[in-house]
Amino acid sequence: MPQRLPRNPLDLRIHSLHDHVESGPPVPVPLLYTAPFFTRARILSIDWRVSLGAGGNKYPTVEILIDGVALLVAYGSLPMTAAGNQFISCSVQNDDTFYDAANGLYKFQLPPDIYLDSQQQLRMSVDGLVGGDTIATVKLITHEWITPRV
Amino acid sequence: MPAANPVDATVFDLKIDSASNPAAGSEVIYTVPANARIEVLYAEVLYTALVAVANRYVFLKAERNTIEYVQTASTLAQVLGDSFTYHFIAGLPAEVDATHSNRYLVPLNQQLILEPADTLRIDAFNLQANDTFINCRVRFKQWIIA
Repeated sequence: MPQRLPRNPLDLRIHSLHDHVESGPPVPVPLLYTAPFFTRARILSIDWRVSLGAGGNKYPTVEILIDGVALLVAYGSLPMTAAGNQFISCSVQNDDTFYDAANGLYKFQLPPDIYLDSQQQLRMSVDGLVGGDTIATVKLITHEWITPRV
Repeated sequence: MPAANPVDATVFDLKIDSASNPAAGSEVIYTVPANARIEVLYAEVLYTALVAVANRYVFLKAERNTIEYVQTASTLAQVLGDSFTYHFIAGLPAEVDATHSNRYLVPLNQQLILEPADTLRIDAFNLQANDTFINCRVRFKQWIIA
């Protein structure tokens, strides 16, 4: 049976708008962002870079990870067909998926309600990622609330 | 009487829950707990079509006392031998990639709010006796009501 939160989150304040910059791990591991302790974060936008050894049938994905369980929350439906650097921009704006292969610009839409509680994770990856591909800098814009220490 | 209006309230828990795998040929049923009101953010399920019948369309619906009050259906015609993960996501348009990763994004109603004991059901038009749904998970906001 669900239980009430120990404190009413109405007490909490929206206190910050943060930039989080993560460094790319060795290829071809997806990037993880872990929400800080004692926060609830709502994701507003994600900017990231992918460097592809070769193009074709590679689709950017955004998932949340909670206790080891992954749920897809956004997906770019156009295959990245060009090798080289791709700049990927996701936000809650109502963007159709857009891809300019010649200039390496890729945009797709995030749903408006991506929330991460303390220590929950966001995973940026690419379906079809192989050795030689890299996922580099990720910048996340979030709203965060401080949550009770239970 | 509800303790708070969830459309206005900012007080909510974030939860993820699983539905039991149904028998082959049966729909997935997730039942809202007795003292909770939920707003569904995402739901996903893996659907495998095994029998030689064309054009299954997976859909999600909410029911209260056998009365259906919302439904969203995929526009992908799934056929024999296909195994697709359906991602119902509030606030996104439909997206399909049938050839590579076997994912299908289905738009979900925003502010889909279910009351205690309401059910969320995932089914398919032309569902066949040997077709299966497995690994259904639901992510939602939750309010406790007295």
